[in-house]
Amino acid sequence: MKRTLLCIILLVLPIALSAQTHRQQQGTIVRMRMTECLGPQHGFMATMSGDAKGETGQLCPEYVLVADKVVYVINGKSSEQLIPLAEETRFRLHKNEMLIRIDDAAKESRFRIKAMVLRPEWDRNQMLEEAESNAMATRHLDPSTIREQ
Amino acid sequence: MATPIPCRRPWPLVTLFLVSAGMAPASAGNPREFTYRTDAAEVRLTFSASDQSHHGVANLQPSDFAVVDKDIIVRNFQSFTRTDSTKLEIAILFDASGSVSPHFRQETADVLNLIAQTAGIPDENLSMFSFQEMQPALLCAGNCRALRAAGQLPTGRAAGLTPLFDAIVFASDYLSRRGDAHAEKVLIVFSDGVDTISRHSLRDAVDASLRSEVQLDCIDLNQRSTASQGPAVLRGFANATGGRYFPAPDGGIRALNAILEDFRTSYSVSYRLPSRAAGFHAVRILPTHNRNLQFRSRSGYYYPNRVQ
Repeated sequence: MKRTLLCIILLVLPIALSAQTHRQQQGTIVRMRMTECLGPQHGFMATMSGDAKGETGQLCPEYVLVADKVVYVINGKSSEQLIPLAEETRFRLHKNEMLIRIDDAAKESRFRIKAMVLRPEWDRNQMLEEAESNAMATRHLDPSTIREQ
Repeated sequence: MATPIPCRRPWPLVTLFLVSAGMAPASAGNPREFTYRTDAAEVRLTFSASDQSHHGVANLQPSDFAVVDKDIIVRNFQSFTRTDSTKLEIAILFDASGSVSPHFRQETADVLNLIAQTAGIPDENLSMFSFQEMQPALLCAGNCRALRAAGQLPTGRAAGLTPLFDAIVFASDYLSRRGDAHAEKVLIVFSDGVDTISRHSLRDAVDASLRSEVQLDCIDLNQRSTASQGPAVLRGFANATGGRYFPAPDGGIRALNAILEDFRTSYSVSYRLPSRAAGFHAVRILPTHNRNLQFRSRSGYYYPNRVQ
């Protein structure tokens, strides 16, 4: 009986994990910039051969997408691969790529995942950046700073 | 969502509203000196929207677009309005240097024709500059139509060196002091894009236009077969400032039509400064839902590295 149960768990676990990865999630795109496109060679072999960047000279969009628990940095594969900057973006993960269905497009668009950061860490960094920026602005208007100058 | 109305040209403008924070007199002999301190708190951006058929979109909503300001996406706006079509300040920059002598007759005809077509623009909002030899010069301001009618606009012959970049800096500076702060300022540049003598660089000319919030619409006087860098320079001016590039002939009239048509579907949006990073803030407007919407605005604005 125990052995049967173990077999069932071993069979079901990968399916459950896979389902977790494939389920639809949603997030918000908070940053966007155009950056060098990554060439087709962008993987383990490219890294080992010392040609990890594989830049093509073209510019591709790079987005920061903030989801519930993770913040993703994703890259489009061409300059035309632009995501509408709606408040909410629905996506799912599949084989180290993020799949986003844009509007009513027939196929999902595939984006490379460049980096992932846990949400609390990202939030903390954002707060630090904001505090630094506010401090700089306050310093500009501080009467003591004015006297120093 | 969008009612298209005939319009070809979208355009832009960015303004930093400066909030003053201190003041003082600075007269000679007075030991106390006041320091003016300002902090940029809000960005104002003027842009126009068109659909996939290049028709202006007359009923754009704030939820239809987002602004990307120095990589940060802004969706919350402090204000969103249609621009006031009475506030349009137009200047024409007329190249009278030796480099355009082969096309000078055509250029002169285009400029005079353009002035004749500006009936919808108040006379006081129209001015004209020329450049040849070392100095750009103001030909007329507020009385261009009268001078044209009297045949008094100097259209002699093209000769001398080409201080194109200096002339753009000069005209941008002049326009920045004209009209009210919210007026749309457009400089229509007739040129072959060649500069031979300016003290200012190409970058200086672009920066001066961006700082003065002047849109450059460039009319290329080159023949199509030319191998010069001129067309690329003119395209660069237009792209950086949210203007457009038109090849001659008739580029002037097409530019004017585009400016006026565009004006009917231009909007002004303001938002909190998303980052106090000093330097150039590249700005881009992108749709939130309808990917067919296209936006035209200036390429960015400068945030000073020290608040003054």
